[in-house]
This record gives sequence, structure tokens and C-alpha cells, in this order.
Amino acid sequence: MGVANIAFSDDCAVVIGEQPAEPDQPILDPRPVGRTNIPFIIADGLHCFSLLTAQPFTPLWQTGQVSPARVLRIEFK
Amino acid sequence: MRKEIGCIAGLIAALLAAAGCSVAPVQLPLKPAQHNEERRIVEFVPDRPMIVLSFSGGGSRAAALAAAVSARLDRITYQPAGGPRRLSQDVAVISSVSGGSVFAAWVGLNGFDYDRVKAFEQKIGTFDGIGYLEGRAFNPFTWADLALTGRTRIDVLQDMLSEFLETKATLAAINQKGKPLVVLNASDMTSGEVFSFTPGVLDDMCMSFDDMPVTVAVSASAAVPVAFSPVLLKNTSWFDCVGARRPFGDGRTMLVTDGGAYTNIEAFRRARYRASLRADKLAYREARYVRLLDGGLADNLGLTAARRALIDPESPSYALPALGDGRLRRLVVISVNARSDVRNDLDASDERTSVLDMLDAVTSVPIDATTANVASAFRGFINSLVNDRNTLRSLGVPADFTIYPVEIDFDELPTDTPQEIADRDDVKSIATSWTISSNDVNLIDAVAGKLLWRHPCFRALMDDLRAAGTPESEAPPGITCPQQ
Repeated sequence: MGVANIAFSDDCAVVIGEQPAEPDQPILDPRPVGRTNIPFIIADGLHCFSLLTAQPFTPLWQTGQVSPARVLRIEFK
Repeated sequence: MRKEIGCIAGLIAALLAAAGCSVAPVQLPLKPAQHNEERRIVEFVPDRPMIVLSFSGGGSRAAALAAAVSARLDRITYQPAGGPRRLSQDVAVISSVSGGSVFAAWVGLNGFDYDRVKAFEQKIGTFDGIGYLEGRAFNPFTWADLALTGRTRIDVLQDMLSEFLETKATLAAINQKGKPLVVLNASDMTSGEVFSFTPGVLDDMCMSFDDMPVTVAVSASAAVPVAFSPVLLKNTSWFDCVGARRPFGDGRTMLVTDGGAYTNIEAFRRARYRASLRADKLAYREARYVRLLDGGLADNLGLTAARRALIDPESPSYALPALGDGRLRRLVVISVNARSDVRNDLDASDERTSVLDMLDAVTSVPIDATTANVASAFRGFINSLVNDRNTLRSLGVPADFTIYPVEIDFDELPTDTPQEIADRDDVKSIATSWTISSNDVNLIDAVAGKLLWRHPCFRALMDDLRAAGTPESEAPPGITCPQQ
């Protein structure tokens, strides 16, 4: 288990899902795991993060490693 | 597994060895455009606890202990906003193995109603499962049936379970809104992985969850090796899947990333296993046929699946967000372990060790060792959650949840008086069997009440909820719940 904090200019749901083959494709099967800008608990390991929002954001997804010992910080623009 | 089941293993195996050269696998392919739908919903309400139950293996002894603990939960009430509530109404997840799966399936079909649970206890104290199995084993019609139809010894167990549970229902009956998430667990004989009967896992196999007979899942969970043949599933994903399986999901990230295994080796192995079930190009084996044996081989407590149910975003009981944002303030995990210490004559003998003795050992010693490891891993999970809660607080998130880990184990019984020592020794000497006396069921019922009410974490929960119930034992003085 670990903690992640996903930064974005807007408040929206953070999702994890299946990593696409290309960076310009959205993730498959997105599942909510938390909210942007609020640290949340998530299973440790490697995840493919994205956002559920009508606002444009980049990149479309990012992978990040959640570890028990530190807080994962990722930013979407 | 244990002595009595070890004995019938030889008996049944010898009598039925000729049967089953050709085996009929369970084939339940998804229909075109179909995927498995999860209908169970877990609600998170701040003033209600979320209760997770895990029921261990141990034949009828385990089923009786699971029922006895559950009956208590239906008799304890508290007052959240909206009116009085029974603790049993807050049971969100039931993860079970082997004998525990018999009661878990019963609850999934019939609910937690006190009178029904007591009826289960009464029935298991009068049902002669071993007699049923022996009667079938000695019946020439059974031999002919198995030899001619492609049925195997596990079908005899399914017949017994169907008679005991009085059902021919499929898992659709337990996959209903308003019911707890019942997860029946077996062991994949080839990979050693915990195999959970969930819509997601069967989706990976392009098999229909709703069409799977309850007794197939329970018998897979209780298929004691050697005594019973494994449950054989035809994995449609490797053949001609026409269903619309859901995507692999987040787990694939670990497989496609160099070094992914370093980030969480258990999750990596799980993803790798899923790839093999899905016939994914990343599959490490062609799992065309999946053989399932007793869930106790991989995890005799059912805690692995319970943990996954809490941390997997695909599960309806995914609890991590609710723990962080205040919707879930009390997480209760009651692990009902019916472990026994049946006397072994080998302790007092220097005779040559027989093949049957060794067979008994290789089917029971690994289970005991795995059980200890699983319990330790679960304690690590609880501790990790507490650490994460503290991390959130340090970051300004008002995470405010308490975890109540309640491990029910016969070793926790008091031993202050000769009668208490005798009760503990008696209950721990009840053999693992499908036949149990009503006296033993009554003894298990009595000690279950003591074990539950003695537990410091259960006491803490009762105090925090200001719950009303009838304590059946004093709490041990000076002992507190470790997570408080």
C-alpha cells in the first residue's frame, strides 16, 4: 500500500486503467481511485494513471510507481 | 489434509480409480457480446462499519464455526442515523475456503437471518457427509456412472453438497444487489494461485459467472487433494471466445514495463496469472484447462481474496478511496480460523512411516505453513493501511478511520480452569471431516461466542458503536486492540 498525489489545475477523478500501446490513445477500463490534488491511498506497484474530466489535459496517461515508503507525485497539465 | 479425510482418500481413490479416463470439463462460455456483470454493490456510510469475514477450511468444523460467529453478528444491534441496525447487515465481503465455503454459499443463498443460520448449525450436526461419500464409493452404480459418463470423484462431492445445501442454483443467485460479496476460493493446481470465483476472474476465462453452479464453486473450494479429483474448467479464452470480455485493466502495466516485477512482486504474479487465463500475448502458459483443488492449498484462511476485494478497483468492495475521504471510518475484518490440533499417533511411535502417513503430511503441512504466511501478510496489510492513514494526516488529509482486525482462533480460548482447558482441547481435537456430531457443533457454538466477545478488537468495536448485545465472555484484563 502507498499514497499518491496527482496534481491538476481542476478538481476531477483520478483513474487507473489499461496502458495503451500509444501515448495518444486513452487508457482502457478506467477505474476511479481518488481525486486530483488530494493525497489518496492506493495499492503499491506500477499503475497507469489518467483523469476523468471534460477539460483537456496532457499527457493522456502516465505510469507511476507507488511505494510504501514515499508519496508518489504526478502532474497533469 | 487431516486424518479422517486422509483415510477416505485412500478408500475412495482405490474404489474409483478405474473411473474417469475421459473427463467432462465444466464448459460455460460467454455468449456473443456478453460479459460478466457484477450486481453486488457495497455502500460506504460513515456511521456504519464495513465488515469483512473470512472463513477458513476445516470441513464441517469450519462450517460450524463460521455459522456460530455469524449468528452472533445477527444478534448485535447499534444505532446509526436512520434507525437501529444489525451488525450482520454491514457484512460487505465474505471470502471463504473449503469447509468455510459451505457456509459462505449458504449465506449467499439464504442470508444472515439468525434462525436460518441456527438451522444450518443444526443441519450440519446431523448430516453424515462421510457416510454419504462412502455409500457412493461402495455403490457399483457409482462406478458405472463415473466410468461411462466422464464424471469424476469431484462430482460425488458436488452431489453431496447439492443435497446438503438443498440447491441446484447457479452463482447468479448470490450475484444480486443487496447481497454481500461472497467470494468462494479454490487453488489453481498448476500455478498454485488463489482462484476466486468472481465475475472478473471468469470474465478473464470467457466463462459465464452467472451460469456456474454454486456446488461446482464450493466443491472446487473443498476438493481435498487425492480424496477428490480436481474441478476441471475449460478456459474458453484459449478456444473460441465470442464473449465481450472486459479489458485487462491496470494490471497489464506491470507486465509491459521493464522492471515492473520489482514494484510489487505479488501483484506482478497476479497480473501474469491473469494473462494466462485471458490467453493474452503476454501469457506465460497456455491455461486451456484449469484444474481447481481445495482453496486451502494456496490460502486456508481466505484472507488473500479478502485483501484483494478491498484494494482492487474492479471490486465492488474497493475500499481505499472511501477510507481516505471519510466515507468509511470503521473497517472490521473477522478472520474465522477453525484450525485444529488433532492428535497424531506418529508422535509416540518409532515405527516405519507409511506412505499414507506421508500422503497425509504432504497435504496438510504445506497448508499449515501457508496459513501462517497468509496471516502474517494480512497483518502487514493492516499495518500498511495504518501507516498510510498517518501519512495522509501528515499531508493535511483528515483521514479518520479505525481498523478492527478480529482473528478468531481456538488458541485464544481461556485456560484458567480445568473445564476451560478441557473445552479448548476438545474443540481443537475435532477432526476435519464432512461428518460432525451435534455435540461438537454445540461445543463449537459455545466457544465461538466466547472467542468473539473476548477479542479486544471486537470489544473495541462494540464500545465505539455503543452496540447492544449479550457478552458471552469477559475481555482479557489489560489487553487492548493493537490498532486502537
